[in-house]
Amino acid sequence: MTDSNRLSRRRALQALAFSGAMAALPLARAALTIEIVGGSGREIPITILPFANQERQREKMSEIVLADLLRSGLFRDQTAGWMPRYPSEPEDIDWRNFRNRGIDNLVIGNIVERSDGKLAVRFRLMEVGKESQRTGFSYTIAATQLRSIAHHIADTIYEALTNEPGVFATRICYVVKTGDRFELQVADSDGGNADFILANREPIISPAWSPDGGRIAYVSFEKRKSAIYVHSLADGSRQVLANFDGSNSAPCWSPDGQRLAITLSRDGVAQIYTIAADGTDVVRITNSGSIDTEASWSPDGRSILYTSDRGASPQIYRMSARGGPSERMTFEGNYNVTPRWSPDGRSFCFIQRNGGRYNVAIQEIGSRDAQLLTDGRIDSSPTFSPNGRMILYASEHNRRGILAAVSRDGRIKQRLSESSGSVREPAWGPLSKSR
Amino acid sequence: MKVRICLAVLALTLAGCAGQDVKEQSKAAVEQRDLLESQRKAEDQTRRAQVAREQEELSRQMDEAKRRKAAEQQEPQVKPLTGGGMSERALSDPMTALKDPASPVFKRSIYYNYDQFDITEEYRGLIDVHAQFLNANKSLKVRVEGNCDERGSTEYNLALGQRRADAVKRALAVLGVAPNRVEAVSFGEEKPKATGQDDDSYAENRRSDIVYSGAQ
Repeated sequence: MTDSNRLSRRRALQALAFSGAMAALPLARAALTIEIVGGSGREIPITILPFANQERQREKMSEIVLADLLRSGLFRDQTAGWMPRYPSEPEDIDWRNFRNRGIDNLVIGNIVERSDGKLAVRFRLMEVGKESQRTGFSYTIAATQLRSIAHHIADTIYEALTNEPGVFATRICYVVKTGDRFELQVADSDGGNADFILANREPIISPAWSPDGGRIAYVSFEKRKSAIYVHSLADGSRQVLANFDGSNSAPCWSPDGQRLAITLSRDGVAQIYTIAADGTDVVRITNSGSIDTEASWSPDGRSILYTSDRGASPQIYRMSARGGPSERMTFEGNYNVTPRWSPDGRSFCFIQRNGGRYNVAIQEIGSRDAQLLTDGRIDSSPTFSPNGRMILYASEHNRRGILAAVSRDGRIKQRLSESSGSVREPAWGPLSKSR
Repeated sequence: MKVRICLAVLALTLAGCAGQDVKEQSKAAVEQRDLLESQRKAEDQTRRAQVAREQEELSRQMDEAKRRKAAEQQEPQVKPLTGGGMSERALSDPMTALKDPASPVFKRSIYYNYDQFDITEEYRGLIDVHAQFLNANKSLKVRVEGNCDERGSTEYNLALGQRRADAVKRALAVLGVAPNRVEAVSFGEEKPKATGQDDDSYAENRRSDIVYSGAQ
């Protein structure tokens, strides 16, 4: 544990004690609850049987896996109904029984408690029609890893049946504001395992995951002005990346993790710069007399999308990551901001003013046509899931900040809400390294 | 009226006009009245948002007025311009002036239209007052804090708030306040003063505050 980690922990605890709200601690760790408000309309049926011996664990693995798959909006729970004994190995399966029930995608599994206290977890995705196994894995884990392995299992099933990577084992971060307390929290993509990595009495905004998922850059106002910090998740250590005169904000990592694009106002109006991840080698890459901010680095590392009001109203532009001439990308309406490249580099999402509302829109690179995806009053901070299928964003419900997600085709909508406080500024982390 | 005259005297003193002849003084006094007129307009604009705070200040104001009257009665009415009532107090203790609701430097907020950062004519007088005050109190430093309403992009609003604060800093610099005495920062939409979701709240939050170190 480094000094800075100790410091930030102590500060967090002091903030708690100072607010006289020690009871806030469990609330702060409360999971986001998820509510699906739409569906794809062509869901894949899936049958997940209880894993043998799973009732001896704190959480039932098959239920976590099923909840993950249903939450994607791409699956439908095809229950097998009660059975005197659920099969957990292929040789136990009465194929005809499942065929008669119209079941094709069948998941079985079991958990064995080993003498050293670890768990041996095994699961298989069976194809009933062919009486064969599509995929299957076994894991040896500590009991505390049960949830995250369940997410990995869900990812494996998802990928086998949709041919795209699953994102259940990924993590998200977001800011929770409760009273005048701000917490930067990290959670599983389903809102589980939520914990804060920083607690402040001053605002925190614009968290951005490093491409390897090991660090988060963010803007904190803890010095009564904006400064950019880089926070290492493994040991909680952090360093100031940029604290120049004026605003320091909008960090975005390059795909190789070597540099960040940031916005500084040290030379006048807010402009975009790049900076090495250790805080050295600051290079200015825009030169306008207007606001240039919200850089988003393309997945191939070559270009940057950003917001600029050089044309009187804020619009989205594209330029080389080394600077130079810019090309205007958005033309509909007079307020288009917060561009984010899709992981495949073929499109970008952003926020468009839509009458009096501010909504998430998506646009193909090379097209001038934007498609509106949401209809909240004020939606903001869109962030792609690392497989590009969903867009997580900040919205509001009953006058509280909440997180919501929408599929890139607009058909699936999810609402995530925290049990206390106002949630904002989400950022979806990368695919997990263990893939 | 008495307060008016006191303020005019204060302005003369702040402007460093001590020792000038009577004609010069009255001209300056007229200018000061103009200044007060525009200042009063600015006050009207922000009146609604200030009502609660002003009510809190009311009893203190009355005490202050009594104290000022007593002080004026004790002091000679005819004095060189470096002396006299409130001006002397403002110079010797600028913090008192900053906390005095009757003082022109009590108003420290500039308001903006949606997605705008330029200082409208309405607030020129307020900037002038603070420039004069800072020029007369060289030890004081200020922070200008730019704010935005909650609509739109967090980051765009942070940049917009910075533009608002920077514009105030530049306006003060034009009037002779050294840039190293003014720190311009932005809170973007992160520290809304009004928490409603209506046009009045949004208008209240599109604001720069001039914050003197040590004064609220």
